[in-house]
Amino acid sequence: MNLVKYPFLTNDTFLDFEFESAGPNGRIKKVVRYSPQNANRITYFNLAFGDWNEDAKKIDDSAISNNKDRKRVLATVAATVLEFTAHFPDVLVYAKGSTLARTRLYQIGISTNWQEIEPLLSVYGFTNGEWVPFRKNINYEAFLATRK
Amino acid sequence: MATGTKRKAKANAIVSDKVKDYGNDPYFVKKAKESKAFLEKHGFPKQLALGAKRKANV
Repeated sequence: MNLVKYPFLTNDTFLDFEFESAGPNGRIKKVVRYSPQNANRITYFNLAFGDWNEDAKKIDDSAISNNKDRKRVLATVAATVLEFTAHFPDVLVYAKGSTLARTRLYQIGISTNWQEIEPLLSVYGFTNGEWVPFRKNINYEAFLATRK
Repeated sequence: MATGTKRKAKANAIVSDKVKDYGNDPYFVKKAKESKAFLEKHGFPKQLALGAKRKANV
């Protein structure tokens, strides 16, 4: 990826990724998870990410870290998609935010990193009741991607 | 940040045995269930669904 991103770790399954956001609110552990799932007899992986809450020992889905590094965080999440699909080139990856604002974040992440994503991935967005090839400046409800 | 045994992955990631399995985290479980409901209701893009089935049959 051309945009600056954080170094990230994974484990032997390549389903879990960790990195640390660094900014005015300190160092915040981010976790990206690709959960295997089936729908309509098709296997896909659900991409989700959030902040790790060390006290609660779980992902805090309501956390708003506001660490002034949104572009870098999104570039890092996009890099994990490329890493994950490099390891599993035949899979489908699905992503949808918990809220419209968070889904919009995914859209910004895809658009901002499109130069690196487009040559490698076929990306679709769900809008107006149908899946269509991803285009910038259109609001989508959800996303699906696979390696070309 | 976890920093146990490390090795370089295919592209950018560092493989570490300190990265835990988050598969049972309630947030990720909830998100996966929500995705299943969405895709069972709306389906997949025809191009991707056909590709997935074709690959599954290889």
